[in-house]
Amino acid sequence: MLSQEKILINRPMGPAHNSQGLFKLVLHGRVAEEAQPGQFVTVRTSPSSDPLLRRPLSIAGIDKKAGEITLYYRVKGQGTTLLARQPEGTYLSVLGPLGQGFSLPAVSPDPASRTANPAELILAAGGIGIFALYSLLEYLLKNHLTDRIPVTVLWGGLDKAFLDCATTDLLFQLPKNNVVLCTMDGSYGYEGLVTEPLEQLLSAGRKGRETMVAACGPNVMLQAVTELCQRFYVSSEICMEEYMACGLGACRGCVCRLKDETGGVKHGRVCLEGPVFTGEEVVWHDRI
Amino acid sequence: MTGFDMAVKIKGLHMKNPLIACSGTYGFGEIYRDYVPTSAWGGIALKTVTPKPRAGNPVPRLRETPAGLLNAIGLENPGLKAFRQSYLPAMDDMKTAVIVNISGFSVDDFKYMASSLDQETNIDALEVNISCPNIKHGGMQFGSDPESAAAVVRAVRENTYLPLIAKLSPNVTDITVIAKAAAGAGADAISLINTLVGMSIDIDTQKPFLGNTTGGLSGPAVRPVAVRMVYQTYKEVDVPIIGMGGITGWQDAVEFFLAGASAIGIGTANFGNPLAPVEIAQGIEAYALARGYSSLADLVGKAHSN
Repeated sequence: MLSQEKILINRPMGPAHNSQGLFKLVLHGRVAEEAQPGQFVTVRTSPSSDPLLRRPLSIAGIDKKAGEITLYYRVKGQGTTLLARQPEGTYLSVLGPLGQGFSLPAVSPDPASRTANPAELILAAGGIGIFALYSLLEYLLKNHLTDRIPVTVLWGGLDKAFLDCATTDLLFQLPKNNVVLCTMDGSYGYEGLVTEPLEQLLSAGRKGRETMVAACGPNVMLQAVTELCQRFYVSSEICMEEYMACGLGACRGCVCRLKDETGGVKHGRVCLEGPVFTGEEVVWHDRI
Repeated sequence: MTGFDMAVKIKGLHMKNPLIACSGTYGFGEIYRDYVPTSAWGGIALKTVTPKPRAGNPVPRLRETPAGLLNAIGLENPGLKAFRQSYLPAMDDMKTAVIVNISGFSVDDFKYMASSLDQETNIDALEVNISCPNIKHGGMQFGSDPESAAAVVRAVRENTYLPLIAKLSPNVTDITVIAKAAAGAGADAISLINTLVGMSIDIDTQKPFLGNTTGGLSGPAVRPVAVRMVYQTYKEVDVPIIGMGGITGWQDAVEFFLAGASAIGIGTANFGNPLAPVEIAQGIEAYALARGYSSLADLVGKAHSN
């Protein structure tokens, strides 16, 4: 849907002296009704034609009762700079929810379905890829699924300052041992890439495909995650990112490569068939 | 509001208003239906169809630039056979003029496309794409030379009774030479402009940003070029012109009518504002009524008479 959503919150994340250019945006309107974890919206940052395109933002939080969605963004270019200046209380043009989100475990146990009822969930995030996974984590916590399904979050960022800033209360609702943090510079947690603790977890004896990995981050990380999952016979869903123009599937600008039914390669639109794809269907190399 | 006639007739192509969704920005008309009824448009130019399926170019395919967009999609499309099977039947209930945009890599390709689609009853016109800058052969090459442009248009003309629109490239020394060649070869209308060839370089990787190295620039950044080309072409050819290039508001549309366009295309603007066609149609009507015009024809080419 295309709607005018009221800006309830639009302010820097984290401590005042360390916002890392990250902002929290809470919108009130009709989008929340239909929003699902892993979906996204596009927002118009200016009534003028510069910038011309809407900005795609992952839905990080959904409160259907209150009619609110939470989005996080990093101020990077002209569009996000203008967005950061939008006053609270004003309205924003929002298109969405868009795309296909994550498969959600059934709220009630369903022994017949393994995907709807995984034995364990691992959420792997790189950098601001955590924002898309927040919506999934929020769903799991809200529906008390974490009582039944062990959920582990693996999250890697550049340094401690980044993690401090991009963290939300959701992570503190998980048992401490179920949150593994990594930094590239070793300033906090595990030093290195998030795929290293993921490999340790997966190699520690998982029950095959009953473990489910959901991941979001840079493409190189997603490729490494899906390759690890395939090596350990674990299914995965990855939330992908690509430059978009329309966000609706019309322009075919944001394609990624997928296996087709005949063993060949086809294009999937990240905005329409994605942004969440199964790790098994994405083709990272020329040959499969 | 009454009293202002928005209808446009270009040979057999009858449109309730002069607004056409530009090819490549609107899929096969199916994408935006949840946001804007297709009936809001005078016509929808479908994404280019080629004889065989095309996978298109590697990503990144898009780069936003100041008030503009570079794209290098590469005519990704399912090919003629799949288009006819999977998409053409849905055109029956489009409630707008359906303009099928065709392209190819040889004159024979265009012949084949035209003769294959000629008998389809739910097509209102063919738009001949001799201006795509993002494919290695064919495309813009045909539109860069008056003889090859004429050869393609003639091949299509000889194989269809459908109204024929030739979509021209701005990447030429003199647009009027190509426009005259296309009109002389039997085009019922000229649409211009397609995108301007451009490029962007990533200063971090120090490499071209787009997967295809170069792309086509659209959006308000190209509008003055488009207006100039419509203005020049209007003086030189007798067939109607469909003007396009960076139209985002009704004021832009009016500028094109004054330059000589009989109808206008809205493309990139849809991405930022799906309601653009509705807002632009209302604005054109209000402008015309306020000045006492009774039909669109009163506006067309008016900038030339001053």
